[in-house]
Amino acid sequence: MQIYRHTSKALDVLLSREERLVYALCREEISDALLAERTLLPLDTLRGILARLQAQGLIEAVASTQDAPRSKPEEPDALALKKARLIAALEAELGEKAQKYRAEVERMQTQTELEEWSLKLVLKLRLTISQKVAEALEARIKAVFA
Amino acid sequence: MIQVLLVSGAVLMLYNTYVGFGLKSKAPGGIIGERLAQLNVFIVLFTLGYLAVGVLTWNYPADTALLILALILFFGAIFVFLVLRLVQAVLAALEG
Repeated sequence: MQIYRHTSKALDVLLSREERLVYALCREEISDALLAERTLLPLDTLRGILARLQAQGLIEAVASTQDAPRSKPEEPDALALKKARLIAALEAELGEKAQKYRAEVERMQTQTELEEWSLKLVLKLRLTISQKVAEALEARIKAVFA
Repeated sequence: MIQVLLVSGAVLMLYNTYVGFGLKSKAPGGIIGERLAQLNVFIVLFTLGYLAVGVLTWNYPADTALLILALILFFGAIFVFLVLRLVQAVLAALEG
């Protein structure tokens, strides 16, 4: 995976619609994988466009996966953030009882897993603890995962 | 025969009462907790009913009506037992 961004060279050539889109997205550092996702272009086509833009000196590759894993930590960070927000929501709704769910929250590896677990917890609370608390917690959980 | 059915039903209902209140501690509120509270009230009432019927009819001569009553009470106790088993299974599934 490569990360690209604009060069200082001014845009003085005519670009196709796809090339313009890719060029515009490269205003900030962006990986080819993310570009493919945002432009909905096949990776091969995208790489061709990137190569042409690079050849014209309009964009430059600033890093590859091997030497700059800086786009990767976003996911663990996002997961940690969601875990923290979820724990805060649990504490707000359940008070002291939230502590017994903390270890389970920390054990979750992905956001999907965390979301599924929290929805199951809402169901469990609705059935066995309190419908009111479950509804309030569900609203908070939806805000966390929105 | 009638006495056996009545005693078995009463014993089963006493066990159901114990299980019902045990389950209530696992589900203090929510949909199951609320329904379980109502269920427990009726389990206690029916248990008292079984005991009352047993005491009041103990020396009665056996007849068809009394046998039918004893059978209904006995199968009622089994029904309550099965309902509580279902609640137990739901709570276990939620825990797992």
